[in-house]
Amino acid sequence: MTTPRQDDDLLSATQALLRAHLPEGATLERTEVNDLNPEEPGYLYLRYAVPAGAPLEYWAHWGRRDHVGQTTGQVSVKAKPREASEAAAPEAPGTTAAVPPVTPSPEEPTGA
Amino acid sequence: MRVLLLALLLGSAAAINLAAPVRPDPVRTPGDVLTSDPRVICVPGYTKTVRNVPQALKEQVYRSYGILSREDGEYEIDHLIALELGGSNSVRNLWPESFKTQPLNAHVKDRIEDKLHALACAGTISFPEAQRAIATSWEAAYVKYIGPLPGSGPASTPPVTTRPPAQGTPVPSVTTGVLGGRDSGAVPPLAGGSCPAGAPVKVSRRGIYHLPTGDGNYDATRARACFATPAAAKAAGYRGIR
Repeated sequence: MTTPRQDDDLLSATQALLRAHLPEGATLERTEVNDLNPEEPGYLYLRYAVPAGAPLEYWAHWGRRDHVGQTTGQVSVKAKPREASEAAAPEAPGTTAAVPPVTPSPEEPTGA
Repeated sequence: MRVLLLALLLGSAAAINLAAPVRPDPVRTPGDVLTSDPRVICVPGYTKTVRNVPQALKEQVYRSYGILSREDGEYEIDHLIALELGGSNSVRNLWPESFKTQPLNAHVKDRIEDKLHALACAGTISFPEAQRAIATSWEAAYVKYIGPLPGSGPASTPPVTTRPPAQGTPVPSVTTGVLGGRDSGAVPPLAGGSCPAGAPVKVSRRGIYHLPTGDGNYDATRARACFATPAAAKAAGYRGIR
C-alpha cells in the first residue's frame, strides 16, 4: 500500500531519471497508478508527448537501483531508506521491512 | 468414484475455457489511443518501436477479469485498439483474449485489425474512425469491413433439426403475445434460460435468435423465447446472427 506522497515521490524521481533520456520538448501528458505492488514493474504508467513522432510510454517502480530501460520502457527508482519515524513504528506481526524481491515471470505474447 | 471425480474435473476445465471472454469489458477496457497520426502508424515496423507490456501488468489484467489460472497458449493479453491502429499500452486498452474459444478468438480479431490498418493507411477511413470501430465492437467492425463472422451466416449455419421432446420432459404450451405481441409460435424458456428440445432456437433479449449448432453464443444465451425453427423465429420478427 502506498500513499499519494510516495507515488508523488516515485513520479518526481522518475521524471528526474528520464530527463537525460527523453527527446527535446517531451512533456509528461499522463500518469496512471496500476493495481500492483509499487516494487513490481508496471506500477506507474507515464506517457510523454513528443514534438514529432508517437508518444513515449514508460513504467516506473521502486527498485534496488536507478535504471532506465530504453528498450523496455521500464524505469527502476532506487527506494529511499525509511524515514526515522517510520522505522521506529512497530511492525504488524508477520510483516517484514525489507522490500520483497520481484521474481521475474516468463514473458507471454501480447496481441497487437 | 474416481471416474466421477475425473469427469467433474474435466467438465470444470471445459467450462473455464468456454467462459473465456470473447469481448472486452467496456468498463475495465474501454480502449485507449496512443496516436492517430498516419505518418507515424503507417511507417513499416512502427509496432516494433512501441513498448512491451510488463508481465506484472499482464497478470493484473488477468486478475481483473477473474482469470486466476490458465494453460500455456490459452490467452494473450490483447490491445483492444491494436498497436497497428495506434492503440496504447495503458491498462485501459488491455484484456485477456482467448486463442481457443470457437468460432471467435484472438486469431479472428487479428484479421479485422489488419484490415482496418490497411484501410486507414490507404486513406479509405481515418484512424480515429478505425479506433472507434474496433473499440466499440470488434465483431461489428469485422462484419462491416470484412463480412460475416466465422460461424455465422447462411452458408455456415447448419439447419436446425427439430427433435421430438424426450419422454417425460414437459414442453410448455405455446403462448401468444407474451413478448410484445409478435411471438406467435414462441415457447417460453425453461428455468435458467434454456429452451425445450421441441423448440431449441433461442431468442436473446436483443431480439437475435441463436441456433443450437454452429453458433458459438448459443450456450451462453439466456433465452427470452424459444422457437421450433429459425424460420418461425424470423417470421416472428427476430433476426439471426450476422
